[in-house]
Amino acid sequence: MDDTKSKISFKMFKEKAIEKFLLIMSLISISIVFIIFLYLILEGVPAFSTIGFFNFIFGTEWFFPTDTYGIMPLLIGSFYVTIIATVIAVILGIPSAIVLSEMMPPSIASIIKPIIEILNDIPSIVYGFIGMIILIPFMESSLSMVVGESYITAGIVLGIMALPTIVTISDDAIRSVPKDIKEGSLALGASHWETIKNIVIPSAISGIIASIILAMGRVLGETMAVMFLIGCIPRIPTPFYNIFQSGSTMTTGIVSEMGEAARGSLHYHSLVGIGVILLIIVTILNFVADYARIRVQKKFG
Amino acid sequence: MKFVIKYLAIVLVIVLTIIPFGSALEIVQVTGSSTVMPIAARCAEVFNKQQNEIRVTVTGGGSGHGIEAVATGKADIGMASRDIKESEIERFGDKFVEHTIAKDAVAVVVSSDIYNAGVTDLTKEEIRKIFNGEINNWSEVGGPNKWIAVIVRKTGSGTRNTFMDAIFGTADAEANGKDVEVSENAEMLMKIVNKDNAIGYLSVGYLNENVKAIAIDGVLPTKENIYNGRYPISRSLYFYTFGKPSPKTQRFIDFVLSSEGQKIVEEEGYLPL
Repeated sequence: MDDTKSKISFKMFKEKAIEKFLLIMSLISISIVFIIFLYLILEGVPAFSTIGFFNFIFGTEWFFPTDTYGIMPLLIGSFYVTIIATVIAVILGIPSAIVLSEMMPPSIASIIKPIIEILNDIPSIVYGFIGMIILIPFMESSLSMVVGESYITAGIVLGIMALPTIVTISDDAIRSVPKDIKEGSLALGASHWETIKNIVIPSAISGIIASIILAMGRVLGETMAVMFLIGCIPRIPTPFYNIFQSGSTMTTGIVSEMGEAARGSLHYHSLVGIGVILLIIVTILNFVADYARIRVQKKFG
Repeated sequence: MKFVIKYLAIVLVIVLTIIPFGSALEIVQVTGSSTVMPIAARCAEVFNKQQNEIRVTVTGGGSGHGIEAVATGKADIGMASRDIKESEIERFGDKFVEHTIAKDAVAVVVSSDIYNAGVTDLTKEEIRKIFNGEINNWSEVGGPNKWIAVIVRKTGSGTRNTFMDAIFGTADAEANGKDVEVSENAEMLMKIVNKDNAIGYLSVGYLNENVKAIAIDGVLPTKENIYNGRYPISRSLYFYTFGKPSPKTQRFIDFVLSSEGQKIVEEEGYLPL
């Protein structure tokens, strides 16, 4: 009798302990996010206050021997690379998602989709290496560029890297469109393509948009592959729309100089400042993507 | 029984992990210039095999990184391919001890297509104009009609400092004609080999049959020309310690300076003292 009682109380204790343990672990995970934000902002603020927030953002020159820190060249670089990569990933990715979810028999699609997802598992340094060995010489010889390292080269490789994000999430979104809507459209005499165009894609559009925005976030944060492919030169291209010139992005700007920056110097705070701006942009993108996803869930319950 | 075996296994793993750290193995951390790294890495390999008390680990990161690491106590030895700067002494205090371990020169290199087309000798002024973007086409210096791709090292590189100091007159100058910035000698080598229109600069230790050094004002970076000072871009390579080196650190420095260490220096393509 006594024995069973103690067993029960031990069980309850174990239950409580596990609950507390799980709670503490989740609190630690959440607090890490806040610590990262707080640390970045505290370390980045001296740069904003010394240089001036607007001078920091709109300054057109970045050269640390003279303590000149303006991140416009890096912002423009990140912008161009992200746009080029997103366009490429959308052009290749959305049709792939439609084919996978609507046209292929499920048995084949279940083989093809993992193959596309393998692109996600390849380490980014490998993309950079392949880009450096194959794409850069190709760009130089076929487009007679002075150097193959450029926004366009980096954008092409990042577009391929972002492809699985777009294919996977868009495919899921298209699959989650209820069958009865589709069948209703077909029953009314619409062709397969008309159904896809007028019914399926409009219904899945928020999921597709979410996939595009997540892909943009991935491209913005990518570092190692870009380092090999962009030339790492912080300058505004001339003319400003010349995407065939070498440049630099926010991430490569940080990586290439962080080892050299003395802790606590203006140089160091400015590099962290780039990180703050990058984090703000990526966070906004993620919120927008989440919003789009929630909308799609509400639509179909 | 099963549990006992399981716990025994866990204990065994933990004990086996701790034992190596518990023994009297002392670690000497060496970090900094990628130019000095091949020497230090090869020396560390041989040195580690010879005795069991000291383990030397070598990492790269650039001269500036090495000097900062040694001054802040993150490393025992900072490798540098340039002299220490006034600004660094100001920031960390005047406690750096300099150990010259080898001689080196910075070679100006061009892609093999350009070399084979006849660009094997440039004047200092031509090199400055190319790196500053005033000369943009190889035909202006006797080469084929191709645009010049200028590859430079990042700020913080000792090789860059030595090169800029010799060609532009000041280490903090900016090469306005630059097209690509790389962070290591090995990366520079790769870009020069992969392109057919590039110019860059490398420590002579990295020269091989794929990249050939060009002469500056008719002087090639040969051993003789570097020793007698005729070649304009030469320098010493250093180990920096912060304060007097500890006995373990001193033993490694002594090894590098010994005839065995200096033989490694020569094998790696640099010049012994």
